[in-house]
Amino acid sequence: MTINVNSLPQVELFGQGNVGCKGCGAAIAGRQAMKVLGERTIITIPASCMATLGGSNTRSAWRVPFYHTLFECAPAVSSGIRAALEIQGIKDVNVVSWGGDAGSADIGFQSLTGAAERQENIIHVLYDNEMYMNTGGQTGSQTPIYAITSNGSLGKKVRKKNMLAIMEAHGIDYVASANIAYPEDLMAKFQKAAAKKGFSYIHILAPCHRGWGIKPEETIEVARKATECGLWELFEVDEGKRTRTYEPKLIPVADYFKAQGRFKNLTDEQIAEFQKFVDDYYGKGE
Amino acid sequence: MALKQLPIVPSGDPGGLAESANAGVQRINRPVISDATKIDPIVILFCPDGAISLDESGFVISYKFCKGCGICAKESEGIVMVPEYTGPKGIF
Repeated sequence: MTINVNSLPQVELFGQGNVGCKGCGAAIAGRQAMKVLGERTIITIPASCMATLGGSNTRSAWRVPFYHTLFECAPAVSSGIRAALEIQGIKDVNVVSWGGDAGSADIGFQSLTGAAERQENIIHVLYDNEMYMNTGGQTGSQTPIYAITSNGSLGKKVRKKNMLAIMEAHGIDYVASANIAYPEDLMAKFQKAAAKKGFSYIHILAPCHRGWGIKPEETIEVARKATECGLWELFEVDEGKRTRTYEPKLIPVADYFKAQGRFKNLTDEQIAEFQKFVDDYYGKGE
Repeated sequence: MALKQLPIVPSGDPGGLAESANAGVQRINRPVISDATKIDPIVILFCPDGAISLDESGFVISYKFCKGCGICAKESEGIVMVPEYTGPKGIF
């Protein structure tokens, strides 16, 4: 499924007037997704940068209904909204809960796993900036190993939790990883997820230039390097069938790490460790 | 009480922030189209603020929304970043 950039709707349902930083990866992810989801969408967002971006009080950057939930319950609120729509007989609405890595993988995990287990007809999006950026860049479960954060100046000691594998194990209809540097791939995945009758989970890598120690204009470039070096694989699991949607060029992983300030203490041995992992995974090692 | 009799609570104005946006205060450099024929249309999707659009007359950059991050100039040819303020150094 290919998407032509020129044929996309002109209307900006999200993005214009958002109060994010310049070069915000989360805002890019939101814009790309809303181009596909369309105006018949209800979005629930737990505490995260994305909630702040949407505005506060009666001023909103969203042109669709936007519900700012408590930190731990965005998928639960979405489930309730879906139930209310079903009772009223409204069928053409996408219900989306859009959490950050904390609101989905750590603090909001219990409601996410509950909604996935019930096979609710909603889409859950995890936009992953690999840190708790809304509160100043603390370490979370989605922070990669060795990354320096504001409360971990020596770097994280343990590996990133594999949320995609966890969600795949729930046996839900659709699981996909996406990257803001590949908008056509991302939008095709949202189109598929919106058509599903059950629970869909999409995990988007959305760099935060403040936390990652990069320049604002490099947001897309670093996101692209993450996929091209093989560390962020783009794939989907469509009702149990797993396919890789983009074949990376497999550039050296050092290109990805050296571009970021949060990996400035990484030694050559540690980079070689990552390179070996990637080579083994893609069957290139010997 | 029936669903339709519930009181209506004040809710947000859809897109209220977009109507009164003033992102220009964050800008150090502004993007300027130098050669519209070379612009890759995908930069429309890379803009975090929805500041670039494509209409009948071609690419249009809205300086009401643009925060000057420079992603468009980095990802596509035909757009260059120029300093927002010119004049003696240190004086805006």
